Amino acid sequence: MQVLKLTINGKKHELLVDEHEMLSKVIREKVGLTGTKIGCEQGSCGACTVLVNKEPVLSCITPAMRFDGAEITTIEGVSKNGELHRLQEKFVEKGAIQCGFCTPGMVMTALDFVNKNPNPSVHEIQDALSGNVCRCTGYKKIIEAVAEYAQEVKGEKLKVKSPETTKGTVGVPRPYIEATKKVQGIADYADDHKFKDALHVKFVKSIYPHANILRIDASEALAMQGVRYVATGKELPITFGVLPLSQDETAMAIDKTRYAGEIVAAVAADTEEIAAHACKHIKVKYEPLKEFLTIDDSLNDIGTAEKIHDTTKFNNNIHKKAELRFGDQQQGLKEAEVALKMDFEMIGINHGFTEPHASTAFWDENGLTMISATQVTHYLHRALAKTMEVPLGRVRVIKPYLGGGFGGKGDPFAHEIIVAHIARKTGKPVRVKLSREEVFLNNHGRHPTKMTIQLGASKDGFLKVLDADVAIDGGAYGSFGVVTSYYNGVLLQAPYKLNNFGFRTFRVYTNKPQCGAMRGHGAVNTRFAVESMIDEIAHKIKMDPVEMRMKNFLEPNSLTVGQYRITSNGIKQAIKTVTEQADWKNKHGKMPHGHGFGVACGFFISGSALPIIWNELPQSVVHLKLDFDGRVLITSGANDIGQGSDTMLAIIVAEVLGISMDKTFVIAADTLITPVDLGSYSSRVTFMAGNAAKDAAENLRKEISNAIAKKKNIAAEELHFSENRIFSNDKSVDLSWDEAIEILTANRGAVNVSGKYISPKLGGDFKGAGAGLSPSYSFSSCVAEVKVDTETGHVKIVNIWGAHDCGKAINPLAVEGQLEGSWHMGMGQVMTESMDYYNGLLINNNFLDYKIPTSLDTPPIHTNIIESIDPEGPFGAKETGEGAIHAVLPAIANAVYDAVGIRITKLPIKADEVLRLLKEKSKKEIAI
Amino acid sequence: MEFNIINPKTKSELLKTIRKEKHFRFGAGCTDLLMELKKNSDEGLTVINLSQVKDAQFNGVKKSAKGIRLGAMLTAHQIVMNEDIKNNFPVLHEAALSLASTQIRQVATIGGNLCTASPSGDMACALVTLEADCEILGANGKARTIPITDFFTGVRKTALKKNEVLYGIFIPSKKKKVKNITSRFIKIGARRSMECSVVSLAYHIQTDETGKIIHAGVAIGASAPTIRFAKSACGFLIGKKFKNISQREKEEFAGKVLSYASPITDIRATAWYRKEVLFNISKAIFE
Repeated sequence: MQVLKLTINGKKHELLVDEHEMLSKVIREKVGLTGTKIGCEQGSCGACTVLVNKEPVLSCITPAMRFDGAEITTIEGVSKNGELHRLQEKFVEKGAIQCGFCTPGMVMTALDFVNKNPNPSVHEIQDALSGNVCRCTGYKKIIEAVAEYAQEVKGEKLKVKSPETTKGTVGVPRPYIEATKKVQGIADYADDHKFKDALHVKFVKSIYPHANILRIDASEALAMQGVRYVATGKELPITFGVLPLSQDETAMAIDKTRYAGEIVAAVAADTEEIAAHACKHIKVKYEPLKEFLTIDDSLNDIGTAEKIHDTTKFNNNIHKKAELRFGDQQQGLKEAEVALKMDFEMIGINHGFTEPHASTAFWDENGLTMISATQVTHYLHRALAKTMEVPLGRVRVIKPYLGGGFGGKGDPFAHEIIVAHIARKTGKPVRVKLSREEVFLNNHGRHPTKMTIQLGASKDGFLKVLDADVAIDGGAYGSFGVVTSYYNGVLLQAPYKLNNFGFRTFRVYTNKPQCGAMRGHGAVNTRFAVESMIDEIAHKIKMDPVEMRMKNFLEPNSLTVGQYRITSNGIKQAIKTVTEQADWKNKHGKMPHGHGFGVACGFFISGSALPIIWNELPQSVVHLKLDFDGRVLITSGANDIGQGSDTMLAIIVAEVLGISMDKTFVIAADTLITPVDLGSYSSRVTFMAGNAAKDAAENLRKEISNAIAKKKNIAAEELHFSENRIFSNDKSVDLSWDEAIEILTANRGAVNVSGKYISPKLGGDFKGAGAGLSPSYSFSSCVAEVKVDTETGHVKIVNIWGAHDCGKAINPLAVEGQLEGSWHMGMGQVMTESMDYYNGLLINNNFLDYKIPTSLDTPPIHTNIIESIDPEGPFGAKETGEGAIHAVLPAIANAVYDAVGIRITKLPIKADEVLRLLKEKSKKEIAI
Repeated sequence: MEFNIINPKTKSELLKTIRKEKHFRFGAGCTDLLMELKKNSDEGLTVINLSQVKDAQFNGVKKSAKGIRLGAMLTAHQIVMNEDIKNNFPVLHEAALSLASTQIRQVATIGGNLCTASPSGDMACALVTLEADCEILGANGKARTIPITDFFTGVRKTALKKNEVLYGIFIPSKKKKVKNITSRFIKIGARRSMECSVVSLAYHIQTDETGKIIHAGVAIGASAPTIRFAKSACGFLIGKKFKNISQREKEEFAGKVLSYASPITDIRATAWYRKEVLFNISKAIFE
């Protein structure tokens, strides 16, 4: 230990620190300024950026002792006298903040950059921010915020109007209600919550992909000073999993381990360092088993080897087979004048959210409380009750601010169950924070996929048949995999009319980290294949691929072949918008070699019509409480994971009641306080929780109307609610909101009302009919422009035009953010992202080698919101969080085809592969 | 990850520390070192932090008629901002600018980039092209100078002996009669930032007033166990007019560059790709 002197945000500190302690840790743990975030601990994400002597420094890879005597500015030191810095205001205004986890680092980097470069170009801003990873925004709004700030610094007056922040109207673009908190670094995420006397947990992880565990010797670890508990698998024998169908996981491996990285033991100690050190002294004796690492290995009969799970039906590692057929595919193939059969292969990818998982658990007279970075408090609640063997009423789950999910925080996780268990055993609060490496090993990301697709059409471009034969690599456990298996197929039955359609999906277990749900769940890879093949067929029949798609789109208010009810449908407007904007007619097929344009479409569910755990609870309930102070408290179990659902709830309630946003207050995702909402998955929250909020607000409005009607002797129907007033047409009643509340609460006190959403009964009565059923569907289209460097094989995305039919944008700023983030994420999967394994070991488990596109790799994104006004969505709204991703991947690949004539069938598009294909192609052409 | 850290403040304190400590590593920007220590923690290790040593020769830039001497502790950011380097040795400017990210460039040093001895070191590749010399300081305070090509002895191996520290790098000035310099750093990678080179090509070609090449430096990175100086390719160019090099000559030049490559297939790219691209970008430098 040494004494370290630092001046942080103008305040002097003398601190006792370990020589090897990182500056980030000193700032967060010793000084208590948790605005500085830890995203990777490898200097690859920028979330920990602080200014040291006015220079940007990555505090997570900088030993604090290097900076003895330095002056440090953290995010908490940026705003002055209770006023946001102008750059922070810009971040808020422009919607540059979604989950907010990257925001502090982003602000620090940008602030330093603009100070030193007062007149930057957009390219220079992109370059400056390229060491800061943002997974939510696609960087567009961040770059805009920085650019506008720089213009202001230069003294240029901007004609930009600040978004209206008080008027509660649906359709007005507005920042998230918590944006000012996030931009100052004072929003607390899971790892920012501190507890007295808490223990820290670290894990011993399997080094073999598949092995029997013969012995675990923790005696040395247990004897260490500061070690309080060592847990092993046998203590937690109850299985769990997000789906009732595949409860195939235990919190720690018992008897055998199924992937390299699986938790085998957990150490709780006074500090993280002690726990980590003790883990190294736990001796585990393994007996390696034959491992299964590929789809093909796991599809085949395994002979005398041991299966990954002994619960699977046959002598192979197939977890689930899903198959549905509609119409007559043989007949369809006969009718098709052009039929293609193509193979595709996609590597698995990870969500890449910036906030690593973190949880704290403690037990008291109320049972278990868990604060965790989760997208689904409700399912975690159930899983904890099950595994802890306590009644549901003895568990409380709280989601604090959450640094992105994208599906990756949508399961109950082993680490959550382990800390709950150790907290009970030790009687102390127990914390855990996963390292970035552990986040990758935890995975639950997009399934690696291999498929063979047959698509046939008539010469005049009408689709006749689609048959998809798909195999997906599930990794070691079930997760959402059964749903993924169906979604790979069923979500191909729109946006095009298909009479003869079928699919078969095999999901296999392999000895790798498990795969699960990720933005665009299950449908992204098969959608890529089908959209690529439509492009190919259009090329073969010499038809513009836009025209061909136009011929095949399903109409609004129609049924798909598998009996999905399509209601609102803005697909035609979407494709029209993007192709016009991109000048498609003059560009596609008309550019010089190496330069091309591609188009594609997509569609997605707006919430699953069926709950995961079958019961008759509404899918969402929202409570409102209105008391004497006139403020409406909105409580909802919906998890705001950075997508802006808290803001959406407040907007809807304010709209119905005609009040300003400052008269609303949202408490969400605390299972003790808030009514059940199933959580943030399947793009359900705006549709379902939004409808529940609308229902609740309408009920509250009735209560207020009735009270006033009674008091003022007027018919309740005559009353209008607008701009914080309640009035009748003839103004015989004209009350301020506060006056109205006085009438409402007289002799009664606070009024509580409830609203709910229950999906209508939908779908056919065949087995599997429930998969992909949704009360509404979103539609989208993208055009991509690329340049292919024929010397290096490098594909550069020049422009993305996107349009998404979200029904109605409740908050257009948030919708744009979701769309831009989706397209950016899609670009990542199609261009650079892949989880790479070597003999079952994940080798790129960090943000340097797992390549999320940086701000410098992100092209201009042109965003269009299409509003088809859904008949059942709240104010016509439907999903926007996931659907947009589908079209962008094939649009880019189709643009590559247009540029150089290469059909991409493997993702990501590697320069290596492009160069090889270019070479093969030119050889063939020479041969001809 | 546990280690002790020592912060010498002067050159003599540094030398004293080197003489005293038994089991130590030098930490310059620490960006690579910490990643390594996080993976393989080395008990009882001392990190000698070089960033607080106040010494003009260690931290500064010195120009002379013969060339420019860069202190080993200059950061990539300082290199990027240096006008002399930008004007006279653009290849080094570009290499420094292509390194990782803003924040990393702030602390990553040119000395660290050399001592890490990664085959894909960006600034290192530029310095090989520039035929720089490495000035090495012994614990006794005596310096020795070796050509940079002798500095790299293998993957992550250098000619530094125990108790020696890289003190500075000397880049010779342009040759007499030089009129123009074509000097670039080409980095091939999947992303445009936060990227480790898949292949890199650095060249610094000096022409006289007639456009004739009178001196050439060409080096390749991420293509062999060490960064290689493509000597025969350089020799091939001498006497040719930069703007009049025929297609056949371009390919011959690229072939000569390629003869120095013995790449491997790894997570980032296949050996085939590295060779193919190296050939393509080499022949394209005259366009």
